[in-house]
Amino acid sequence: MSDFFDRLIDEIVHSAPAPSSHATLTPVVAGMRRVRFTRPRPGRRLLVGVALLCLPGTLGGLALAGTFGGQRISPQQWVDGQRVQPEVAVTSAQSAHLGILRRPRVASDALLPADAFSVTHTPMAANGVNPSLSRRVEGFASGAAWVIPGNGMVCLMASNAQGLAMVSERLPPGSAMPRRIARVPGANGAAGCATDSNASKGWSAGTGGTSESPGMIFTAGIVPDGVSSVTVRLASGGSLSLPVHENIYMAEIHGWPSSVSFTGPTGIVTIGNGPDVLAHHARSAASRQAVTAASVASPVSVAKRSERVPVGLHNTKLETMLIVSFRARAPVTSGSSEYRVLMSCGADTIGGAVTSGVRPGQLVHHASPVGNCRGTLHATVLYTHGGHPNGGAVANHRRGQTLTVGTRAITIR
Amino acid sequence: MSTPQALGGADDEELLGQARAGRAQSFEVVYRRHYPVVLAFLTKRVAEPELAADLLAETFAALFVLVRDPRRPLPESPVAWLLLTARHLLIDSYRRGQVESAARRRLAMRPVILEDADLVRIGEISEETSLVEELASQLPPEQVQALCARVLDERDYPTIASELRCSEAVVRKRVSRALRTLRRNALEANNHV
Repeated sequence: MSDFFDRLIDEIVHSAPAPSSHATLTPVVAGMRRVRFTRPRPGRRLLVGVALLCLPGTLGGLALAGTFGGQRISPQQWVDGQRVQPEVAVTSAQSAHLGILRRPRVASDALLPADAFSVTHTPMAANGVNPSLSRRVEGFASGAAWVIPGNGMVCLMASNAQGLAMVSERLPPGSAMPRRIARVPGANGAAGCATDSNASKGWSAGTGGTSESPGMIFTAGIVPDGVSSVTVRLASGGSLSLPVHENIYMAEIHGWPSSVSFTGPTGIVTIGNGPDVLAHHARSAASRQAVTAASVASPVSVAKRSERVPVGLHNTKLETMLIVSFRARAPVTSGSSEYRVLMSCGADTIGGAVTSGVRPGQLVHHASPVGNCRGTLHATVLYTHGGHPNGGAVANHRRGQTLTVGTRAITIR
Repeated sequence: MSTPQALGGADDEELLGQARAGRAQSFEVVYRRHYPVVLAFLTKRVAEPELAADLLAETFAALFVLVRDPRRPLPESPVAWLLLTARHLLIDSYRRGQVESAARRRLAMRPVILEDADLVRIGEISEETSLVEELASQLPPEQVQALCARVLDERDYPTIASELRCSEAVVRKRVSRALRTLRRNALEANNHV
């Protein structure tokens, strides 16, 4: 069988003589809808790392939340410096029921640098995620989704068009790393990891909402081979059908998707999407009574971690990351609540949010690159609850209740 | 009809002349002779083997565009032309955020699938190929040493001077001469498409 180099020369010498052709063909490497040039520049990577963590109700929080189940090491072990061996190849357990992981990997399957940074430089790395095994889902007209194998885990990162635009944002040539990038209004998405077994059976990566699109909820998940559509049941009643492309369903829908069903190889499967948050919202007045500053207060710790990141073309340097950790006393199970981590940096603030999948008693970690911040930084962890689920807690501080979990200062020289 | 194997003894310039006359096999010989060194150059500079393959494809497509344009002179040293073109494409790609594809569009090329085995092979070729040996066939040893250190490995002049046990001025001169030689050989290095 000929290899890439044989096929390439064959294509070159047999190409049409079109010296003045304006044909708009795709690049030579198959499937290159759009090649993101992954120059290993630390500024950009750190920048997008922050961007991910700052995406309200979307990638950052869910990505972190997705690291707490089934991993070979715990997020705390990751914070403590232990490293899980990234998966070196797609395993049969991962690919047996997921065709997307059986097809050849092409250039366009590469993760955006933002996402590649996120999965390897946050506690999500505890899953042994290997960006070089990623597959980008083909078929969706808007937004983008990647399936990324990990060590016994399968991860999904999905975002709508605005979310994709946000993490795709580039720095002007030669510019220094800003501490964060501009938010694209409406940026929304979901991300997380499931065990190989759960991913093969069907799994929801969760939901996300934004203030700019009230009432619109982003949802995405993995289904096994042979499933061409899923049925989403809305909390408000009724249902709708979503198409599946390469084992993934993904859509921004009007209303809360309380469950997702499909007919798989073993029959009808229903995936829960968390509790019915509309019902939760109806109970929020009562729950608000129960949640107090004292009941959510928890010691906050901040650890510095030096991560070796690429510099220039083939050098690396150590970059400082701050890992903010705290024990969650109150849960985050829907868009009506969240933990927000803020870090003062002069007159500015950096940070992000954890917006899904936090259980009471769970140790939560949040990673932020320090960037250019120096001096004494004050980390503050806030808990917001009781916001309207459509739009997420981030947008609803006015209506929800925000409580301080704890603070901690750290000096960066 | 001559096979690529039968053409193996001809020099690069002669082969490109034959390719311009319509003998595709001659271009294939040049390609097979030099793609490993271009690939080795690229894989050391990009994070993803897929991108190195993409840049490699664009580099050779650019050479083929040049070969098929009778108004443009052929490069005297194709390997130098290829390396400098690859370097220019690399820099352009950094600036643009995506790999240039102008030459492939002009050739109306179809996509070529990259299989998992190809990615492995790219890594193997990168490991096996010595860029220095290739340059050594064109330049004096001291110039190869200085050029590799400064241009290809991007080390700073004081470091190179320390390693080569000479002054910075000498290093600068050697790099300058090597580049001038390659530029002279490469003819249109800046106008690769």
